[in-house]
Formats: sequence, C-alpha cells, structure tokens
Amino acid sequence: MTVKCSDAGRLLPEMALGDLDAEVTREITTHLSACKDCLGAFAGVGAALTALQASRDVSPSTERRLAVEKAMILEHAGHSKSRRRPAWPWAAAAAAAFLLAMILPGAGGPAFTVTKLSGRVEVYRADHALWAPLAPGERVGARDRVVTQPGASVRFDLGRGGWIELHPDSAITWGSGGVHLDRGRLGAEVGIGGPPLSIGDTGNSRAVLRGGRLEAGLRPVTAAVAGASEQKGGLATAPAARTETVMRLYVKVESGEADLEGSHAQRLRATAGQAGSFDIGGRPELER
Amino acid sequence: MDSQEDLVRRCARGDAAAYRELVERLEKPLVNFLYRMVGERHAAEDLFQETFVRVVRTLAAFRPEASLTTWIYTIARNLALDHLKARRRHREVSLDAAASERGRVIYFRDALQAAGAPPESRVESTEDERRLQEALGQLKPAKREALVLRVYSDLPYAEIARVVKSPVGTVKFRVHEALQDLAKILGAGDRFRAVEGG
Repeated sequence: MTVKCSDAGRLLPEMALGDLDAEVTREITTHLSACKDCLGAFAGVGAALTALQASRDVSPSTERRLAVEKAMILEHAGHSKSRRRPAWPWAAAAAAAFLLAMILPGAGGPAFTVTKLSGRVEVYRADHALWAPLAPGERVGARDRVVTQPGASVRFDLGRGGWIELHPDSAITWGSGGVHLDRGRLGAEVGIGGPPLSIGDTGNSRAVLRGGRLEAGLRPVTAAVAGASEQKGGLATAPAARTETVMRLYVKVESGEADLEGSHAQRLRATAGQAGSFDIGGRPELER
Repeated sequence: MDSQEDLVRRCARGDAAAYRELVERLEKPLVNFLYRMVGERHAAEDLFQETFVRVVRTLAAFRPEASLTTWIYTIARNLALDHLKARRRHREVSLDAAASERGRVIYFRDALQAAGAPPESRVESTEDERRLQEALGQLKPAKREALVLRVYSDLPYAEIARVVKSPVGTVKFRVHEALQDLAKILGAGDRFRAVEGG
C-alpha cells in the first residue's frame, strides 16, 4: 500500500508513541525512508516526546514525603474521631472550644487576620480544597496553607500584640497552636502574656516563642547515613557511603525567649541574641 | 509488595507503613503529572500532598474492583483543574483592577500573560525545562492533560479515559494532537507545514 504524506503526517505522533500496529508501522517506516520532509516531521515529533520523557525527574523532597505521610495520619485520626459520637456531644464541643480559646486568640473560627500584604499571596483553604488569592482583611485557620510568590509578603495578626510575617517565596501551613514552615522564612512576635506560638518544620523540630520576637528559616543539613551491610554469595559487603540532606528549622531570637524542642523530648532555651538550629536527627543546638 | 486489596485494607486501618508504601508507589509519576499540569513545582507538591489526604478521607468510597492508581489520578486531576481554575480567576481579577484593590498590589505582567501560559517558575529550572513547560502551557487543557497522563502515568488508554471521563478514541485523538501541537510549538512547525500540504 502506498502511503501518502498527508496520511503519514497524521500518524507520526501515534508511531512515536508506539500506538500503531506492526503492519502500519512498517508502511510508515518505508515511506519515511523515501520522504525527507516526513522524516524531518517525524524527527520533530520524536524530539518533542524525548523532551517530555527526558524531564521525568521531578520528585518530592524528603521533607515533603514525610509531610504527606504525616498529613495522611492526621487525616485518618481526625476522620476516625468524627465518626465516633461522644456520649455528651455538647460537653465535648464545649471542652474543645475552651481548649481552642486557650491556644488561639479569638478562637471559634479562623483566627488569623491578614493585616498587610504585598505581591501575589495565595491560600489553600483545606475545608474547601481550593486555592485562592489572599487579600488584606481575610482570615486563615487551621490546616490552611499560605504561599508567598517571589517578591511578595504577608503579615497576620495573632491578637494581643502578636503577629507572623511570611517573607517572599515562602510557605506555611497553619496548625492548632502555630505554623509549619516548609519553605523560606518568617518573622514572628508574641506579646508579653500572649499565648505561645509554635513554629515547626516538616520534621518533628519546633521553636516555641514565649513572649518576644524571632526570625525563622530553613537550612539544609547533610550528614552521613549508615546503611545495612549486604550478604551476597556468602560474603558480607560493607554498606555504601551515603549522605542525606534534609531542611531543618533554624531561628534567631531577637527579643524574649524561645524553646527549641527536638526529637526524643530534647529541649533547649534560646534567649535574646541567640540563634538555634536542629541537626539531622532533630536534636536542638544553640549557635555561638 | 502487597496486592492492591491488602494495601487498601491496611490504609483503611490507618497503617502508617501502608501510607508510605502507597506514596512511594506513585510519588514520582504523580508529582510529574501534577507539575506538567499546573506548571509550578511547589504547587504540584502541595497538590500531591492534598491528593493523598483526600485518598485517606474518601477511602471508604473506593470500590475494590476499580484500579487504585486510576482512582488516585482522578483525585489528583480534579485538584489540578481546581487549582488552574482558581489561578485563572486570580488573573481575571488582576485584569479588571485598574489600580491597587483593597491595598493589594496588582502585577500587570500577570494580567498581560495569555490565559494558557504558565506562571513564572522558580529560577532552578533550566532553559530547556522552561521552554518545555511554556510549550505545554500553550496546549489546550484537555489535550495537555491527556498527553501528560499518557507520558507520565504509564496508565493504559482505557484507564486514562476513566480518569478524564471521555471515550478512549477521544483520549487517543487528544494525545496524538497534543504531541503534534507540542512538536510545532517547539520548533518543528516548518517541517509539518510541508507535510500537511502534500
């Protein structure tokens, strides 16, 4: 069968993807061997497909993977609880509202109001599973995520003189007693007598600000990681050298004090002028 | 590796190891699919996270005879489309506002960007990567999603058709057209015009 250029041109993407049957592929191949234009077109389609396939290397970071697992566990825990009816629902609701009031200023709903904003800032409303631009005067609550684009910033009022300001190209997720920082930097202040503010990373490290002001960010921490030895053909082989890099929280206390709480219930207190960070295992350290 | 049934059962029980296994099975292709859909790395990771939260939330609705991978891609696809819709609304607001609205600074370069063009990505992208992402952004959304699902998900056409709720023939047509369009945008246009005239 003689294949015309118009037919071949139409089938080139299918051929590049391997979607044609063997017989048609042979006929097109024969045509390509005799037609420079179609061969050139096929090269173009092949190059486009190669470009797509060659860039298949976007992977979530380790921190993101851990955050995903954590979010799934929290979702399961929250979902399971909502299915169990409390014996005295009104008492449970009252207790929850009381606890929230102790943790969050102005609790009862979204508690953090945008007081200043510049540039493009977006919020992911967890309850509605929707992204939307954020504007001054709007409020965010637990599980909402806020992202500032390059050049943008936003400040939230925490009540009683407290605030959090997210720097450009940064991202936080609001929790019940504070925020989780997974990109960029933030500044925060808690008024004397105001409720403490927790700032965590995507691991188990967090800084709890108790009155005062601090700057927090993330920095990569790299360490050698031990592996398990392998047994091959009766011979034990030493584990291959491997390093792991994770983003860990670091803070600089400008006034007041903050507790650095790491894994295994380790805790250090940083006072005004001190900086603290966490090692790869989540252990807090004070920097000189 | 557990069967799909066992994995779903363990996830339904809140087994953290099962969650990890499920995430590891799909993380690379799923993040790639989301990244190619929305054009922003961090938005893709956020959507990736929300996809799995939704999986946990709606696990009770998953029918055992269906494909878990197809179901998860359907959730991810819907989240990506919502994200793109919200982003378009944001650009429309920018276009209408003549001046700073409620104290917000409007970036007019966003307003001037074509509706299908992806937003600026982070500096870490290479030039080729940026060119590819811009080219993908110029494809019609239905064609783009069909092509990225075909290339990044390894799902067969029948499952892609379930994800996008279209007939298999329509999906194949979109994939092939999308690849052709992409080739033209990336610079093979002259050769195609010669062929189409023949």
